[in-house]
Amino acid sequence: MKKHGPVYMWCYTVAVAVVFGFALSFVNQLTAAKIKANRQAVMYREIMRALGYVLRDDATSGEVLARFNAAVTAREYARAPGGPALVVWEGREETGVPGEGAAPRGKVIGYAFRVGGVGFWGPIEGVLALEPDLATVRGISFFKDEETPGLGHEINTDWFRDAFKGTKLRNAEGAVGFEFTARGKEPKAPNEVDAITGATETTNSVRAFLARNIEAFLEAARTHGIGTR
Amino acid sequence: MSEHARNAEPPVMPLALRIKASPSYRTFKAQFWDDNPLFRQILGVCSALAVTNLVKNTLVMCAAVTLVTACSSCLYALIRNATPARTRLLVQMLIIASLVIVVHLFLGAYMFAVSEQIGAYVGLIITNCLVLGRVEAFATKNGPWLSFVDGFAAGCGYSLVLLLVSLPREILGFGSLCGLAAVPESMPRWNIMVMAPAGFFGLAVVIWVCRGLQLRAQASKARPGGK
Repeated sequence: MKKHGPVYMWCYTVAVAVVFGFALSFVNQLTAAKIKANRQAVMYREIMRALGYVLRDDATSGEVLARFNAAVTAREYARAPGGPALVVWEGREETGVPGEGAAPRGKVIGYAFRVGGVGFWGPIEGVLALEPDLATVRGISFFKDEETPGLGHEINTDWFRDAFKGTKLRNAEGAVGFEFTARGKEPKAPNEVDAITGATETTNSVRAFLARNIEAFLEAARTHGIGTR
Repeated sequence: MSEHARNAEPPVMPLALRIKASPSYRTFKAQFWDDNPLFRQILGVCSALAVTNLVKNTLVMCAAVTLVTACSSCLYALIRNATPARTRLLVQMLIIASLVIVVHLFLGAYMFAVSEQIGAYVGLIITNCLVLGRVEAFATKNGPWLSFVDGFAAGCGYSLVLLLVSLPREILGFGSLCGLAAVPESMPRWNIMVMAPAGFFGLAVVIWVCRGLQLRAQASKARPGGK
């Protein structure tokens, strides 16, 4: 076969592609489970953070998964026919030492569900946790955003997340959602939280999708009796 | 020739001179300093600007680029004689892309937090002119060992510049070094150092200083009696 002939060229290129394709498949098989566990751990860490569990920053994905499985139960509830199911994470008091495996579970401390929408630069995804009364915020956490560092990206800082803790889901008139006010001002309504200075678009977006997501959750909670067990 | 002269052993060259005269050393020095990919050839600038606000991320990126450049040059040099000239770029890209994907997968598995932060830029190593440049310019004409040294040196030269840019950015911008506190809590942070413009300024300063040093060395060599 001539080296510069078309047959050689085709055979050679196909052979090289097959060899590297197999090598990549092998490495993918080798790492897939670990990558999946890491991705799951990131999400579980945020769910646990929103539910108020204290996690070490350097906790490994294995530790996070073990503790999550021991303390949190995921439940799926059907919504509109053909639509995606609503996943609610039910957090319970930790009564065993983390990592012991099947630790006994205490009473329910809160319910968490996914929240998300379009931010200023891209999608924002997070988790909102409510107290068992389903009227008070237990915590909030964001695990994905593309907002401006130093401005909109502040949604993932402790001060912004902490501002939600203990606030009510409804204002005095009963409307669902949060009111954002200038940071540091004394709240006048039970559903007021501090806004991020200079990130009006991000704040508006968070306000809008949280109201939407909470409304949908509360409706599903009424239908399926979440929080009444 | 006298009997004495015939029996005399050839003079032994000192080790340092032997190393300096070796092709591996000359290849390494050329890519690491003389023709440094960043401050001489201005290649691979995008990632240099994007990942240099944290030293830890910079180190991971440098390791990834060095590994990909060295291994892709070596691998291509191994098969260069069998590769038809018309498909060489396709094969080169195939090798580079495969290595980048391997690095990406390993980062995702074993350094997930870093992978989340710089993953997009690791993927972009495929399009880094530095990597393809070394394979096409050097590995197509040289053996596997020298090609490996050349790619490794290009990666080290790239890393040298990235580290010089990232050290002041993290210290002044975050007040830390590799995540550990480096300046007093009371010192105000320079937010601009965390943002992309500081990467441009930092890279420009490093290019200016390194080119200045090179010009000074050349002038000193050109002077009568200069080394």
